[in-house]
Formats: sequence, structure tokens, C-alpha cells
Amino acid sequence: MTARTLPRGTARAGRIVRLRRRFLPADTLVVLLLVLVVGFLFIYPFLMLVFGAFRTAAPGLPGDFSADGITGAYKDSKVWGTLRNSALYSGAVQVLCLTMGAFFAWVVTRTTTPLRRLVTPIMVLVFATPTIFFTIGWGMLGRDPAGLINAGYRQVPLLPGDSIVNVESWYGIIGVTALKLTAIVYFLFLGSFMGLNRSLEEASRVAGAGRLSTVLRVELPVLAPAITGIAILGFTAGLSLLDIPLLLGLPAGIHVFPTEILSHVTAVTPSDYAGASALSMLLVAIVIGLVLVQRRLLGQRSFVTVTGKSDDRARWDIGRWKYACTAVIVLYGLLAVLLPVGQLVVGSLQPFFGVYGNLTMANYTAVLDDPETMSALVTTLIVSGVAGLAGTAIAVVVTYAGKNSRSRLRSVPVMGVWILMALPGITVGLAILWAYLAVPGLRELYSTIWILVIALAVHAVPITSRATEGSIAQIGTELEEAARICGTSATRTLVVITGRLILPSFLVGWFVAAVLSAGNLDVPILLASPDNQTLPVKAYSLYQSGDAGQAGAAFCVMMASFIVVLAVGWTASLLLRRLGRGHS
Amino acid sequence: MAAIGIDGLGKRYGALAAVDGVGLSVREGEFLTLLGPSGCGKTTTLRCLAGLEKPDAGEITIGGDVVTSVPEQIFVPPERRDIGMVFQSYALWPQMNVFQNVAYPLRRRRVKRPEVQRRVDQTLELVGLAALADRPVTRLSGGQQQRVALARALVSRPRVVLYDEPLSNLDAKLRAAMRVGIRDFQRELGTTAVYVTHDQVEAMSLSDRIVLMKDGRVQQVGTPRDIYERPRTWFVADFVGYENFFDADIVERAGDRAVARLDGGGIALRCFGGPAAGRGRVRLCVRSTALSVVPADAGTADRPGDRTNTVSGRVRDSMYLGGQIEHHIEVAGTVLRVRGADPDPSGRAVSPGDAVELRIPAESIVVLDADDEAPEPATRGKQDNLDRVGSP
Repeated sequence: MTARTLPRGTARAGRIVRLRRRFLPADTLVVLLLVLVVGFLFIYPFLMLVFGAFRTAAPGLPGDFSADGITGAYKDSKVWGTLRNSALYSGAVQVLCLTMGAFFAWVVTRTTTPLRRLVTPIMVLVFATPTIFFTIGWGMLGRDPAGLINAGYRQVPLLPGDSIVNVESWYGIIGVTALKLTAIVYFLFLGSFMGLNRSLEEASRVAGAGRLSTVLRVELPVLAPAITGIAILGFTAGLSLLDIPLLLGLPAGIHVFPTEILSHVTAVTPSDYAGASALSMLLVAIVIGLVLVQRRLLGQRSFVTVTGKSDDRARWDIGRWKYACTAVIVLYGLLAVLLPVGQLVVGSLQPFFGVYGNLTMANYTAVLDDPETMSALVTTLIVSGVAGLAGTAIAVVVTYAGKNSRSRLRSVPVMGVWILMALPGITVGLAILWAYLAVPGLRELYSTIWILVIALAVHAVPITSRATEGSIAQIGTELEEAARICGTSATRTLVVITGRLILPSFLVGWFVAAVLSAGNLDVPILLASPDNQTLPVKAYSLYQSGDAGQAGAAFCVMMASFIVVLAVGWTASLLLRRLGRGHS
Repeated sequence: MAAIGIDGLGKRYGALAAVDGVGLSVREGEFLTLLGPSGCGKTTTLRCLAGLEKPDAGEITIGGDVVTSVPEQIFVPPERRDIGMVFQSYALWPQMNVFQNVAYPLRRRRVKRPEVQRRVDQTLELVGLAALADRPVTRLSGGQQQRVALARALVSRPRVVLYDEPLSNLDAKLRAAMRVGIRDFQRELGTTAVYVTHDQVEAMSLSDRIVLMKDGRVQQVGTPRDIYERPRTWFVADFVGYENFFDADIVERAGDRAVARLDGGGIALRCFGGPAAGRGRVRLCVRSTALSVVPADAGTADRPGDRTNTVSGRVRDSMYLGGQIEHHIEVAGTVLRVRGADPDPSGRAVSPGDAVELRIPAESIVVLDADDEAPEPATRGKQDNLDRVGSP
């Protein structure tokens, strides 16, 4: 038989694929494209921030190069006071957050405290409550003397004075910030505590050490690298935070870096963009330095990754102490969720702030009738949804390419994203302003919602990477190879196998990024124009102009619309699943 | 050194009884092993002994002191029991170096500094790690980590040393070496030891006595040789590697000697009746290595006239195992597994399809109670698969 007489099927089975070295494999092409995208979205605005520090004019306007902005910003002796304030503020917040975060993580993972199962839901609520509204809630609560706490205090007879708290003070901003950031610190600690090998502790007990001695000599030292890493991460978060110092610190004359950057742009005429950029550079340098140190520390993870069986039987029965722990949980829930949210709701129903009779729906009518507020709500929902989606997609593609590509450039996009991790929101806004306003063609994006989408997506990537990288790392190459062996094409494998496996964490990343973007004030505060305001910006200006009640109403409306969106999404996924089951 | 007494120990996790009425006594200086498949309660028993687990029932004494008593509500915490323990995952504290890890139990017992130095040095010398005292434990190999864990358990000369599957994370070669090591250290120190493992070889080579457990209960207690040669239940026989089981009736009994008639084929085998062998239903078991096989035509020529305990069968399949060969031989409808040296010292070889004679020595047959509970379904499944080997 000759080859010519073979039937077609045989020929196909024995088909020889010519192997030729292609000039540019598709793989490299994809990575190159990613390098360009990441370069444009992340590196280019960062460079423009540096460029902006040397300009004499606002972004997009003709001007000259000069070092005046830098010298002007740093000659001002106030800047060193600001630096000291920032360090003091963030440092004090860290002490509280680490103590509370570690305490709650320990209570949840290691003890039999009643109500411990409530801690994680409380933390989720605190984490999801937009910082701006949390701040407004506390601003209303603790502004002396009209807030709920002080009003309540006056009801109790025989107590001296008119008020007990004034949140517009050092204690106030530190306390409120600590309440908010504890949620993040808690989640970071939770992983370390759950990963802690129980037998390390048991070995210490058997070796003759008591419980306290074991905690001090074994558990804390073992967790030391994780604690240091979390402390640094929390410190950078404190340094970058704008909302609380802006609303509660400025009235008390407390200036920190983010508020100082903002006031260079908004508080002086003409706006000093160069000075703002110059200050941003220092903040960025500090944050990047700290993040690098933190990465270094968490790089030596051999301490915590030794995992053991994490089962319920290793919990401590801490006796009567568990009631004290329960009390702390209840107190935290009260201070971090019930009081601020309750105050927003109560405040939204008061005709005037501090008037406790005659509750009305006037604030809601005002909010719902105001086209500006309503358009801000719609903008917020769209922008946060799209930015969350885009931010998650970028994170997934960059992480996936970094793991699976064979190209030598594969780690460049990963590095690009990582270097700009934890960049303060206010500097992201400023950098985007320079990067887009200065270039014709991109300039038109300003005053549309797309500039907000881009900025918030860029800002969300560190968090979406965190949310998705675990599941991407866990997908064994074998799963994909098995699909290929079974005759699935590369593209189909990517969709059917890889995509399906990443999907759950993709959705989680999207949701978290959307919630955080919707509540974000520091990115849009510089980018928003009257046509593309978001609700946090609107709420901020309402609060500033004394309409705290309307801000509260806006919060309630936003939360309600979130719940509607979630419910629709949940029903849709339920329906899809049912349909899918019907097919199979 | 101390004796240990365990009485009526019980521990439940929800509906599951992890330990169900275990009673044991360990003599002073004895090396006792708790052996059994995973989930049999051996580790829970050990953890109760250590005080890492609070039992729901029973009493434990160490050296005459009651350390746990549920009826009297006594519970001595682990740090006050004066014990040493080697953990499966080693549980070395990563923030301390080798010396600090080993010194820890002495420091907690408030031993003076020069004495700590002397005893740690001595113990590290014993386990052969004196040169690595300053090394961080994270930079040790698995075998070295294991020896640090051992040194830490032994250094304070505790009354009792507990071992929780200490060798299961090592590779086969290291495991063999560490087995010898543990036996030597134990001999040198003479401490009472309780050792948990699921590895039969480990249990056999280390122990003075073995306790075989299943479903939270003690199945059999005995010396390694007792357990290996005279299993008392179907489960123990299966666990220590008996491969061939037959249902049979005892038809004759004269003192220790008995004759059993196998179900189905009318074959009668002489055996020595154990405690289970009255007259009536029994289960016989025999190791594959105890059987010998000869081609049908050669057997009679060799020992003319002697056909005691010799049965005829046909080879269905043979598997070469490296130095040994395993034949699956069908006798009266049952498949028997027979293992012998390969090449056969007598120079005779059989291959699938051959008719053979099979000799089952009477002294190698163990007689069990027919009413025993079946071993784990998983192990039975494996055997059924093997039985089917060779059939299309």
C-alpha cells in the first residue's frame, strides 16, 4: 500500500505538524501587549507625577519646567510638621489595630468564646462600609455636643459636663481610624493564626511550659515576621488614608500628608499642582519603601506556613475570661457598626441635626429630588461595577501570564503592578490627572466617567490581585495539560478549564473591588467634575455644607441600591445554575 | 521511669467514639506500641496520655499519680505531667536554633544554666547532632529535624516518652536508620515509652509489646511475635499480613490437634487448634510464605506416600516481585496466594496453567473464631481485586 491510497481518516490521524520556530510566538505577543497595557496604566501616570512636580502650570495648560514647586513645597516648614503628624497618627493607629486585630483573630481561632462566630461578619460589615460614610457617621456621633453619644450622655443624671467625646481631635481621628482599619488587620491575622501549627504549641506544653508562657515564648515569636509585615502594611494604609483626617482632623487643625496634598490643589488659588506632586513623591517613596521591606519580611515565610490540622478540638476553654472576650466583641460591634450606621440612619430622619423629635423623610425627598445626587448615585454604581471588573480582569491576566507564560518578559507586568501597590488614592488621582490632561486625545476623557473608571481600576488592582492570585496559583498545570491531552484546544482549555476554576475568586475580587471603589473618596476627589461626581464626593460636600442628614440619606439610598444589585445578581446566578443543571 | 495505667478510657467527637473503653498497663521501662489503621483511636489515646486531650471517661495514672480521672474530676495539664513527646510534624520552634529547642524543656523546669548546657550537649551528642547546635532548625534536613525533636523529648529525662508517628514523614531509608536510632536511645535511657504507628515493621522492630487497636477498642495485646504468629481475630490477622482465609468446620479434635474440613471442596487439613477451635465453625488463615508449591507430577515423587495437608490446584497467574514470586493458585474454587523465593532453590518452576500440588504445613495454620467481624472493607476490596487477577 502506498501513502496515496490511504483513506482520508488515516492520513488525518497520522498528520505531521511541521514544527517551525516562529519569529514571535503568540505567548510572547500576549506578554508584550500586557507590558504595554501595564506600562500605560501604571508606570506612565507614575512618571507623569514626577514630571508634574517640575511644571509651573496646571495639568494640560502651557507652562515651563522649574524646580519651584519642589522647593516651594519643602521650604515650607509646615511640611515637616505634617510628616511628623502623619507618622504619629499612623503609628498610634497601628498600635491599636494590631492589638485589636490580633486579639480578635486569636479569640476566633483559638478560644471557645461565645459569639466568636459573629466576629467575621462584623468585620466584613466594617470593611465594606465606605470610609467616608463611616467617618460621617462618627463625625455626627461624636461632634460635640449634638451627636448621639453626647446627647445620650446628657440624659444620664449626675454626670459632669455636657459631653464626653469630641472626635474632632487627635484621640478622635486615631480612635475612629483604628476602629475602621482593625477589620483589615483582622483578616490579615486570621490567615496567620489559622496557619499556625498547633503541635508547636502542644510541644511547648508537653515540654513543661504553661499557657501564658507558651503564648509569649512560642506563638508570638513564631508569628513575629507576620506581625511585622502586617504592621507595615497597616502603617502604609494609615499614611494613605484621606477621609478621616479630612473630615475630623482638619477642623481640629491636624494636617497629615494626604490632606496637605489635597489642600495644595483645592485650598489655594491658583492651585499648586507642582507642590502637590512634590509632596506626593515623598509619600509615594515612603510607601514603596515600606512595601518593599514588608515583601522582604513576608518573603521569609517559613515561620508561618508550617500548617497542622486545624481542628476545633485544639481550642482553649478560657474559663471566665470568655465572658470578658464576649464583652469586647459586643463593644466593638457597637462602636464600629451599630453606632455609626445607626447615627447615619437616625440622622437621615432628623429634620435638623441633633433634633430628636419630629422625624421626617425630608432628607430622602431632598436626595431623591436632587438630580445631581441621583446622577452621582448612578455614576457610582456604573463606575464601581466597571472599575471592579476591569481591575479584576487586569489582575487575573497579569498573574496568569506571570505564572504560565514562557516569555522572558513575563514578570515585567507583575512587577509593574506590584511596585505601585498600596499607592495612596490621592496620588493615584493626581497622577492620572497629569497623565491624561496633558495629552490631547486623552484629555477628552476628563469630565467623563471613564477617567474615574480607569483611576479606580488602577487603584483596585492590588486588592484584586490579592483576591485572585491564590486560586490562580493553585491551578495545577496538570489540569490544563490533561484537558489538552483529551483533545481540547488551547483556547477552549483556557475558557472551559482555567476560566471555570478562576471564576469564583474572580467574582469575589470583582465584588470586593466594586464595594471599595463605590466608597472611595480619595481617588475621585481630584478627578470628579460636576458632570461625573460620585456619591462619596457628593456626600463629602453635603457634610461640609452642614447637610449631614442628607449625607446620611444618601448613604442609606446607596446601601439600598447595593442590596438591590446584589439580590439581582444572586437571583441571576441562581437561575443560571438551575438552567445549567437542566441542561446536563 | 514510671509505669502507666489506663482504665476505661473513652473519648467521643460528636457521634463518633474515637476511643471506646481502652484499658492498658505499661510496665516501668517498657516500650509499648499502639498499632492500627488510621482512625483506630491510637493517636487520641496517646494525646489523652499527654494531657492534650480531655477524655470523657476513664482514668490514667503515671507512676502511681492519677493524672486524669473523669469520675474524680482530676486533670493534670500537660506541662505538669513530666513527659516528653515526639510529634509527627516534629513541631520544632522555628524561631529557635537547635540548642534552644532542646534546652527549652530544661529551662521550663528551672534547671541551672551550666547544667542546661551540660545536659543539652550530652543529649545532642547522643543523637549525633553536637556539631549543629547553633544551626537554625529551619535549615536542617528532615532526618536531622527528627533527631532534634527526639533530643528535645529525651533531654529532661521525663518519666515517660510519647511518640506520635515520628517516622511517617521520612523516606524509607532514613526511616530504617531512625528506627535503629530510637531503639538504641531507648535502651540507653531505659525510659518508659508509648509509641503510635500504623507501620507494622516499626512496631515489630521497636516494641516490647504491641497493642493492636480498631475502632477505638483494643483488639489484641502481645509481644511482636505473638501478634505476628498468633493473631487472635480476623482483623488482626489481616492487618499483620495474612493473605489466605478459609471458612471451615472442625471435624475432629484430639488435645491440641484438630482436623478442619474446608467449605466447598471436601478438603481436610490438619491443624493445631487455638483457643477458638472447639468443634464447629472456624476460619483458618495462613500466610502466603508458609505455603509451598510443587508441580503435580514432582510432589509425589519427592515424598511418596506423604500427602498430609497437600491439596491439588492450578496456577492462574504469577507475579514476579524481585527475588520472590507470587502465584495465584485456584484450589477448589478459592484462589490462594503463595509466595516463594525466585528462582526456586529446588530448581523447579511453575507457570500459569500448570497443575500443582500445594503443601500447607499444619503448624502455619491459625484457627480463628468464625464470628469475627470482617476487617476494613477497603482492605478486603484490595484482596478481591487481586483474586480477580488473571481472570478475563
